[in-house]
Amino acid sequence: VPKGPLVAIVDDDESIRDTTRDLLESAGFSAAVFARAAGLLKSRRLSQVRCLITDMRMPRMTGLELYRHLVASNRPIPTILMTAYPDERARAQAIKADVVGYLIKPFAADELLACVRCALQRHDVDRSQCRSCS
Amino acid sequence: LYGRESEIDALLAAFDRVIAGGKPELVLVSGYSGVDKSSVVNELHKSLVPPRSLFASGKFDQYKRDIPYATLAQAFQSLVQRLLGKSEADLAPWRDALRDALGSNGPQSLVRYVMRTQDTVILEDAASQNPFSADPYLMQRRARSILCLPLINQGKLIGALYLENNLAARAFGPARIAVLKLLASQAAMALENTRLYHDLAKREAKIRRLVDANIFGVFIWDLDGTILDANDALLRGLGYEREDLVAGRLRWTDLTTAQWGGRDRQELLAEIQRTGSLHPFEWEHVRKDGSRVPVMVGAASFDGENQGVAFVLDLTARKRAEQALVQSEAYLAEAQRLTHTGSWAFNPGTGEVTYWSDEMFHIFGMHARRNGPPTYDEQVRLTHPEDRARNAEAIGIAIRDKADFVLDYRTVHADGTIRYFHSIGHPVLDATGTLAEYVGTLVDVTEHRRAEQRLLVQYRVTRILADAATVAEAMPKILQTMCECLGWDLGAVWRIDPKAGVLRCAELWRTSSIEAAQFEAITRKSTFRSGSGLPGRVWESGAPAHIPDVGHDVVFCGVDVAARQVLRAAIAFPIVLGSEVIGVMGFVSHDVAHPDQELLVVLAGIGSQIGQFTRRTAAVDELQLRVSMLQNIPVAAWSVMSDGTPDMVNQLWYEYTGQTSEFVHSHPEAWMATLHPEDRERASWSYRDAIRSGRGFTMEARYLRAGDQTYRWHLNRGVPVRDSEGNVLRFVGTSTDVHDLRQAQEALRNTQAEFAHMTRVMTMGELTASIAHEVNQPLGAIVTSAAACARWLATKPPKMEKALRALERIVSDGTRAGEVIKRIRGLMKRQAPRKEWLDINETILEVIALAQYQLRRSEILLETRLGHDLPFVRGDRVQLQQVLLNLIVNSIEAMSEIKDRPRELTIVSASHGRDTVSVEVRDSGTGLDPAHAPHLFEPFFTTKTEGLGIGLSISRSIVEAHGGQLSAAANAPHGSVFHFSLPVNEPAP
Repeated sequence: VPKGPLVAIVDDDESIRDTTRDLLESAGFSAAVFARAAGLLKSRRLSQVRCLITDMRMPRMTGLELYRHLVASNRPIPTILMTAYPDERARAQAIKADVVGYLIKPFAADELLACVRCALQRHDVDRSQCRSCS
Repeated sequence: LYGRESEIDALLAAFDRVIAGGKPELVLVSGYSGVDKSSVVNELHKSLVPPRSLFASGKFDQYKRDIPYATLAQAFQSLVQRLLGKSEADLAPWRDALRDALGSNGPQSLVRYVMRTQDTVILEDAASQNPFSADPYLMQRRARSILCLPLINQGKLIGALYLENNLAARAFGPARIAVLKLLASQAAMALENTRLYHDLAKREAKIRRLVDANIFGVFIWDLDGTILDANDALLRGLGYEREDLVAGRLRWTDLTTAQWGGRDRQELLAEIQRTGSLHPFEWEHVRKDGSRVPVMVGAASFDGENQGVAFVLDLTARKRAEQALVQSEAYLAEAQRLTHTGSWAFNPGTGEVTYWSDEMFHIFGMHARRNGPPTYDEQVRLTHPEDRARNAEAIGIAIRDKADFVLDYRTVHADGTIRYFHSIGHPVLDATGTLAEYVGTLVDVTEHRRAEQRLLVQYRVTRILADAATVAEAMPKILQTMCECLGWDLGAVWRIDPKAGVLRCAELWRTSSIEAAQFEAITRKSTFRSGSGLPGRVWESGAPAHIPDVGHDVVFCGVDVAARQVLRAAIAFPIVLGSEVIGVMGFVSHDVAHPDQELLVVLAGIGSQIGQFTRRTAAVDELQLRVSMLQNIPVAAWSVMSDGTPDMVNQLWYEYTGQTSEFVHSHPEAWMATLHPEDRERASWSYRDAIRSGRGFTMEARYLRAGDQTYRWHLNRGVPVRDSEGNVLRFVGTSTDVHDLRQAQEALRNTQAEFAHMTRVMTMGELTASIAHEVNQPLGAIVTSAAACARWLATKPPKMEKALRALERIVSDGTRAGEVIKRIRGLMKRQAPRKEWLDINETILEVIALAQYQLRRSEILLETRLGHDLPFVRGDRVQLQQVLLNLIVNSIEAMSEIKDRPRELTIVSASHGRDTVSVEVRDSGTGLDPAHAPHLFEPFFTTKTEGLGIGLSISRSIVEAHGGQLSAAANAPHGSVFHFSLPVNEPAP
């Protein structure tokens, strides 16, 4: 079992959760999956999470809101937003909020992994935005 | 005999005993002389009326004591005296008895000789031989001298004097003989006188007997008022006793009324004084008790005296009889009057009418007995001209045969009225068998005849109406019948012309008389307004009316015309239906007629009968019209018996199929011959099942149209017709050509489907993001899984197990993406509606899946409350999804502007019993504007800036096509709720 950095995946779509975790694990990361934002926020492993991959549209709390919430609560996690529906306004908001990546489904796996690396890097180094990922 | 009642009673009692017992009895009455023993005995005589006994009395007087048997002789005399008053028949037995008692007590041969020869016979010595020696008397008596002289008075032998001397012969010498002859002649005279006296006495006895018989009262009066004597009848009749008479208390001035019958007693007194007698006259007597007795009185005075005799006959009985006679005559007259029966007599020999009863005069309307009965000829003139010859013939035959005759004839009276008579004549033959006269009766049967005629006319009218099919057919016959039965000359029917508001002649019948012919044309063309003329009056009043004599009224057209004609009487009555006058019937006659109340009632009844007939025929016409309607309605209509055999098929069926009535009725399943082969089995099953179950059927099938040999779709429906007990009598049904309709419907359905599709596509357009999300999710998963797989394979050593799982996920997500695409395709595809059993919850979830992303994006909280175990409904999945989609999209939009409260969409499904499944879509959006509510489901109504406004309209059409309902309401506290229900059973197409 790889013991790479922990990446949290929040998506209400089980298939997306599972495949994304599989992909991350194949790339040597650890992955924790959550169906709801609340699940992550309540998780004991939250502090270990080095990168957050979340779906944009979810019931109760969107991915962006989750991100903002973490930032606001002084626990910022480099975040990659995914969406199945391209929305320019949302994308603009996301970039403005300084997320690591904004991926539109279906996206290339390498793209996601690059973003994850970028996020981890940012987390480790200066937490600056990974431009290459945006 | 004052104070002797007990003695008289003793005598009468003795007498009654003798009478009753038949045993002789001796009663001795003793007393001093002069105490009225004789009177007491004589009193007995008065009480012993002749039928009970004969009274004989003799009195022994001292001065007659030397006369042997004087008393007995006197008694005998008095007996004989009474007997002599009797008839010869009564006397004969007495005479025989006397003769037997006397026997041959005398020289019979000698006496007979003298009587025969009227010679004197002298026997000097009877003992010597003489012509009479053989006489037994003489032989027995040994008489010596005998002299027998005839007693002749005025040359008539009245007897014989017989003397005998038994002591000496030659006792009668010539001197003596001369004396004896003289004596004999004197004796003869004396005897004759005696006889005359006896005759007188006898006559007196007869009178006396008359008086004593007390058949009528007799009294001897004196002018001064005294009644000198009176018989018992008088006394009894007036209630007096003999004592009253003896005491002189009876005065005829008291017994008779002073005046009576307009005469005065004084007149009568004067008359009797002048003429000596009074012819019997009626008067009135006063009884002792003051009551009155009608009497007949006759009187005569004794010559030269102020006295006389009077007889009095009690008329009470006769008066009573007279009264009875008068009464019985009155009864007879009353009976005649009541029965309208007169009696008459006429002499066929002389033609003289010898008797007419009062009722006869009355019947003929003549003043009784003013001029005597009309003569035979006058009666013939009264007879209706048409009946005269028949009467004459009948009477002629009867007289020839001395037989009864019966006449039925009419008379025409002075005022023109007609009466009907029934007369019976009976011949009276004298002793020689010659026809003496005819007696008979005559009855006025006018009323009877009228009643008969009325009955007849009612009967005939009823028959005519029963036989006739139409009013037009019945009317002329009714008019004719009524004219003939009731003796009218012209009859007409007027109908109300509603446009002109007048009565117009519709039918007319008349006799062949000239008068009627001239009247016809006028009647035909005249019209009457309500209230004008007789028909108009009847129309106005609704009641029968009549004019006895047209001369005084406006009848059918005008008084001058009517008067010019000899049509005189008129009558009219309404033809009524309920209370409405629908016509008037009228008649005129050239005879004056006085219709009575009864006739008016009969006519009113006929009017009502015709009215009802009119209604009945109208009903029949209506029925025929309906049958004709049924025949010609633009659908094929049919009826079959409860077992399925054909009953009736209408015209349209024959025209459509080209079948004939004969074919249909000889082929119970003729209808199947025209069925499209593909429909035959199904239709046949439907039909047979319907007949067998008695439920009826509805089915569509194609029938071959004979005209162009094309099959056309028909909607066939059959329903049972049941009786009151629920038994199936018939099945009736229709077969409607719905071919064009069906095609039109199909076209419409296509258009609708097109429209629905368009709407659907548009709705889908609004869900593009959501749909993209639904597709992109699995696609993203696939791409990710593929990358992961490649990575697992690229590791050294390759992690095959992980790679394999990633491949499985790829397959799973690929399938998922395929399903999404399929679903979207289904919604986007244009396809014909199709019904299938479906689970409404599944349908809802599929739609939600498509809208999920949109909901999320719109930050709408979706809540689903789906019912458990909902029954399946039959419907078109895509169409129902379209409805749901539409409602969801609308809700999303309604909530798009809501910032201040949660955006909530709730979808609820539930079942209501096993019949209905319902779905609710609630939102917390802006809600419905009440002003828009009525137009919500109208096509092209929209509150959106974009959109056609046909979504809800189409949704409603879809739900309704599924047999359900779609409605909208306000949701609490915000937003709106749309609700639709679907029947679980498949709705009828």
